[in-house]
Amino acid sequence: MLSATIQGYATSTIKHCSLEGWRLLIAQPQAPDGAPDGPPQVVIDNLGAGIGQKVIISSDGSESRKIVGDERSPARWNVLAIIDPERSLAL
Amino acid sequence: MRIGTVIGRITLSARHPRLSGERLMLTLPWTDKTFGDPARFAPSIVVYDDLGASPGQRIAISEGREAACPFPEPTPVDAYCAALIDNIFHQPTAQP
Repeated sequence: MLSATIQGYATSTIKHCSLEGWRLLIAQPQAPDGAPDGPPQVVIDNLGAGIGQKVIISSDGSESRKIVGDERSPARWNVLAIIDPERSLAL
Repeated sequence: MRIGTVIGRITLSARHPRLSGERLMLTLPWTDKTFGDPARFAPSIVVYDDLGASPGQRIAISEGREAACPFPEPTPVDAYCAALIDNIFHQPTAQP
C-alpha cells in the first residue's frame, strides 16, 4: 500500500472489458514530505476519490479482481482508503 | 497500471508456444517527471497488446502477476496493455 495524491484521471474507450465503467484515476505515490515516490499509477476507484485528495492505493490484484468482478482482469492498483486532510490539533 | 507511450512494434521469429499470435509493442513508461517534460521516460519495456495500439498511442500498462491474468492458460507475460488512453486530465496542484 502506498500513500498517494489523486492528480487527475484518464479516459479510455478501448480497454479490457473488465475495466468498462470504472473510474481510472491517476494517483502519484508520494513520500510523507510530498515528494514524488515512484511513477504515477492509473488506479481503479470505487470510493469516489476526488482530484487533489490524499488516498491509500493498494497493489493487491486479487482485491482489484474482486472489485471489478472479473477473475481475468488486468486491474491491479485500487484505491483502498481516502485519507482525512491534516488538521492542526491546536489544543 | 503505469502510463506508457508506444514507440514501436516487435516481431519474433522464435517464441514460447503460448505467445504465438502475439502483438508486442515497444513502450516508454511515464515517470512523475513526464507530465512536465514530455521527453523524460523510464527505460523502455515490451508490452503484450490485444487492443491494437499504434506508435504514438498512450496506453495503460498492467504489470506483474495481473498482466498474465487475461490469458486462458498461464502465459509468460508481465506487461499487458489494459487500455488505450484517449485523454489525460492532469492537475497536480489541485486542492480537494
